[in-house]
Amino acid sequence: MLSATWLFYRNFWVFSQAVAWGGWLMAGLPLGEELWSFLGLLFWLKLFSYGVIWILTHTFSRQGYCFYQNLGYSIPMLFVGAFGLDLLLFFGLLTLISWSISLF
Amino acid sequence: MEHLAVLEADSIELTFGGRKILQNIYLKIRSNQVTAILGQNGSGKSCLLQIIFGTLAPTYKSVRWNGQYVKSPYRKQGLVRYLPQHPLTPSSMRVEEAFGWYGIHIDSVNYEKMPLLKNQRMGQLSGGERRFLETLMILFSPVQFVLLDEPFSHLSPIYVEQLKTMIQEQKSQKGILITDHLYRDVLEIADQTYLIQNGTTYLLSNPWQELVDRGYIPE
Repeated sequence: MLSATWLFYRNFWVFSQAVAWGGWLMAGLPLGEELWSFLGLLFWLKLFSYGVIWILTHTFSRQGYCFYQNLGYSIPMLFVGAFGLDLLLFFGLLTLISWSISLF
Repeated sequence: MEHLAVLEADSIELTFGGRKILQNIYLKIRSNQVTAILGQNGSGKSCLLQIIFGTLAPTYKSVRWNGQYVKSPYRKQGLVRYLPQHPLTPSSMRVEEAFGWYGIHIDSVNYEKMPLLKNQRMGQLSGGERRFLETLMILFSPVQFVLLDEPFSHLSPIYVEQLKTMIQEQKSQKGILITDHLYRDVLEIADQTYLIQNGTTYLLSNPWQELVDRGYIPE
């Protein structure tokens, strides 16, 4: 399941991560304590960008689903899994950056 | 005696914009057999395959595997795979990798060009080669049933002949449902044939004659 989700996520990870890091940049690169107050906002930004990805994929790349359906995965499963991976990657990296800076 | 699997579809009703596409459908696909569906353009063949696969939701449907109702056959591991009319695999994926995803060892596919093609990306292949290989990915899948939607489209005659031979070989391991407009090739390999007409399936006992009688092919 994880490898199929990763394969699916690779189709749009650049766009999704770019939007999230762009949002973080626009918020003034908050880190540490300051980051906590922006987490909710960044989460909603991620959810919104996912909505856009879902609409674009459904409109222009619908045919691509069949490869995954043949492996037994439904479309909602793929999107939920990819969203989880995306959140993990973004917030994981943010936490890592925040933690590294607090060390030095 | 070996237990043979059966996939049945009936009570299917599909409507698009108030127009009934499918109604009064009955279809039985057995292991070790090639079942063919013929029908004119727009008769609902592809929709029927997607309904059986479980990715198209009609108004009503009943799909049963060995008598048991299955809501989403594609979600049931090892039950069914479907070849759509459009390209199946991501273009950036290499041939060997694509077969691997579907649980097929590339060397188990008896195709003489495979050693040359296996390291190429799907997007680098010609349309016909890609179609042929994607059909093999479905056909050789370790599942009980495969649904092939126009597998002969875009294929040169030599590929069509090879594919017919491979379908005949693979039917000893699974049930195969095929639909295509190349009716001569389809009828040559089919063990049973259905015609979709006016949204309804008809099982043909004498396909060549009945296809003429029903106006699907000229006299």
